[in-house]
Amino acid sequence: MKIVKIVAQVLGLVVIFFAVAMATLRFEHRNNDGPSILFPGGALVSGELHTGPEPDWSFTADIQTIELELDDSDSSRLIWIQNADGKAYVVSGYMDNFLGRLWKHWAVEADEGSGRAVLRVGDTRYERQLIRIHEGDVLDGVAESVVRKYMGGNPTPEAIAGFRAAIESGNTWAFELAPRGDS
Amino acid sequence: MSMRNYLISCAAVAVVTALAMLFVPGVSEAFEGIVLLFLSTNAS
Repeated sequence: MKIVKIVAQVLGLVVIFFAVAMATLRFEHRNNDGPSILFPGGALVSGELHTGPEPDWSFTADIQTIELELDDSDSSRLIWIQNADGKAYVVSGYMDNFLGRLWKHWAVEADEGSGRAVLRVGDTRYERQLIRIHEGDVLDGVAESVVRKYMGGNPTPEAIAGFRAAIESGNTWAFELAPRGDS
Repeated sequence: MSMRNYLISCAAVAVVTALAMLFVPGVSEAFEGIVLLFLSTNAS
């Protein structure tokens, strides 16, 4: 019985160590210029701000993750990026349940807030307006991009239809990274 | 270990861990690197 108590106490100390370490790291990263792989960061400061004509976002086809900052909270995170018909999109899964919305709170914030965001790709920042896409044929292109880049690279019609259905059902939220009207 | 001593140990571990992460150079980077290595090794 005594050995069980000792093991439980040691496990408790280990759990406390990891919990405090992770919480401290998250706190430490909160104002950084951009996120780390594990933790959100603060506002995106460095990098040249893009001006001029709207780019063709197909150049992101080979880019796995970008940095996305929401202006409402000045917080940034690493996120997948999709492109379809020359436009850029981001998606957020697991949005049909409480834990998913808690985990992917940025998507809730983008949907319910102003949607103003800054995107950083490489050393260039882009001011964007996040616009949620609920339905439409554009979702086929978004789904094709997700499947091709992040789900094995074989965008079969069934896989595309399945991902589009997930978006239209509300399980996955898709946002267009549209140019800001005031820029 | 008595309950009182155990609770003191827990508080000490928490405080020392937080201070080390915040103020000892390299500790937070090393810990994050270890976590990333674990995740990249074990992620399915």
